[in-house]
Amino acid sequence: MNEKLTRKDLWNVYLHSLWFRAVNCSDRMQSLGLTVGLIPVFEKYYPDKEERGQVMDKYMQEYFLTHPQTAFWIIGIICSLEERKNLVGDVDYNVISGIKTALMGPLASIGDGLYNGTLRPIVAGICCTLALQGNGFAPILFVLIMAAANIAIRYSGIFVGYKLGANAFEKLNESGLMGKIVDASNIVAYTVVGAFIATNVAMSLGIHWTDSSGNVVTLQSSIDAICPKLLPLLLTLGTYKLLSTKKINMTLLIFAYMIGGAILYLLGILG
Amino acid sequence: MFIKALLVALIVWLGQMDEMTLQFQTTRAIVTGPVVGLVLGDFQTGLQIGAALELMYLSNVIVGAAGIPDVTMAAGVSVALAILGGIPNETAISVGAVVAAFGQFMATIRLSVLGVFFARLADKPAREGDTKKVFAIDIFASCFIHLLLFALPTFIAVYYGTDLVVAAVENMPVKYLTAISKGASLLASIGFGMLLSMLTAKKFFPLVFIGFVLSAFAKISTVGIVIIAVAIAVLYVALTSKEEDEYE
Repeated sequence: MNEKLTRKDLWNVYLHSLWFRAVNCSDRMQSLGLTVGLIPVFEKYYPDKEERGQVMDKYMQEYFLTHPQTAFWIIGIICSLEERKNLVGDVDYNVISGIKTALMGPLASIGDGLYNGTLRPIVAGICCTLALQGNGFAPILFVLIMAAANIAIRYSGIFVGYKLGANAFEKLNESGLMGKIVDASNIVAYTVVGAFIATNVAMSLGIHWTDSSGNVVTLQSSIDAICPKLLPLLLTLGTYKLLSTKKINMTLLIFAYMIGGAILYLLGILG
Repeated sequence: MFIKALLVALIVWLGQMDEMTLQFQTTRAIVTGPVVGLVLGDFQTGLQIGAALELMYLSNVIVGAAGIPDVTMAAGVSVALAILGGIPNETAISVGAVVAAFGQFMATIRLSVLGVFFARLADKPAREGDTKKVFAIDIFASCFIHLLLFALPTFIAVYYGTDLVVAAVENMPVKYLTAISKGASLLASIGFGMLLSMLTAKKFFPLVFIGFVLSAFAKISTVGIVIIAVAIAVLYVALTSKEEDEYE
């Protein structure tokens, strides 16, 4: 087949790649998903079943693990390489394998850091704040924003990744754009988390006494006069220190906080 | 009850399948919670519990092969318990934390037992170049695995577990229930602490205090603070871009 991949082929790759994460296994991770995503390419360039089987087997057996959305950039780049392999012939599977292995780490850290680690928690945090105020539109807003970001990443991955080929990532890195995106997203994240602490963490002291004229005085009201929401701030910063210095099991931490908080309440320290 | 438990299981399954395919994030508690609430006839309870669970597990990122606490099943089961069993939201949330840990265990089985089995099953058709069969195995395995590991336990937990949890809660003095809810109110700090530790550009950390003051002292709403934050980010990018850009 001496034909370039058409837009229709690439859309077909997009649709197949939606099943990219469907079955992960602990030894080869997403290799089955990658193979499934590339099915339209295999069918186009390897009409002979035996040859196709040999190529598919290579993709199937090789460990592949990256972020399920930025993965579409690698899939787009592989499309352009498979095309070149069949039309020009100056790349072979080893080149493709080398490039996909080289890209999966950096793209995983971009996806985990920017999408799962920054964009989603910020959007979720805003929508949770709205939801806790009883706003029923919050979940819809969350899905709309996340779906739009998802489609943008995946669409550009297949189509721009295909167009730029193996140099795609290099060009992106050289332009310094990636560093700027990380910086900008972190600026928003840090600022908004500061606000989240004040609005979403509830913690106040229960300690109180009666003054000489018989009024009940709470320690919390004195603290509020100096710095409102001081306790949630200190608690979150303490948790941050704990999580960034030690590897701690999330589930254990959740139960420790819940039981610890309950005991402090029963003792009258928290109110 | 049977139908209701089945519906909750179906919603959890659909959420899991979204995470395996479209990834529109309907798998998150902030979505699963209100959807289960809507189906069981109490949207607000679903919304409140879903949002609280979401905040606890705000920035869950899969690191390597380790699974993460499962928020979909946690939200489905806790909202169902709160609505069908009539137990307080905070108590339902603490049950949700247990369910999330159980879901994490299921995710481990998905990856290292069933995933390995079905990937091996696709090896032979792949070697024979049988694209249709490989695709079919991928789709079937994904649907089946999530029915078995997530939908089925959800159904069992809601159908058989509601009475158990209700009985346990009814026998507990009110004082202890309030104590649990006070403990649960601290949990959002874990989500935010986790999020802070994930961010890489540590030089911007002081912005946390700006955001905090804008909210705690100035009482600006979160959306207002997001607008300020985006403006700071745009300014930063503009001011740090190379000068020659302006003359091009």
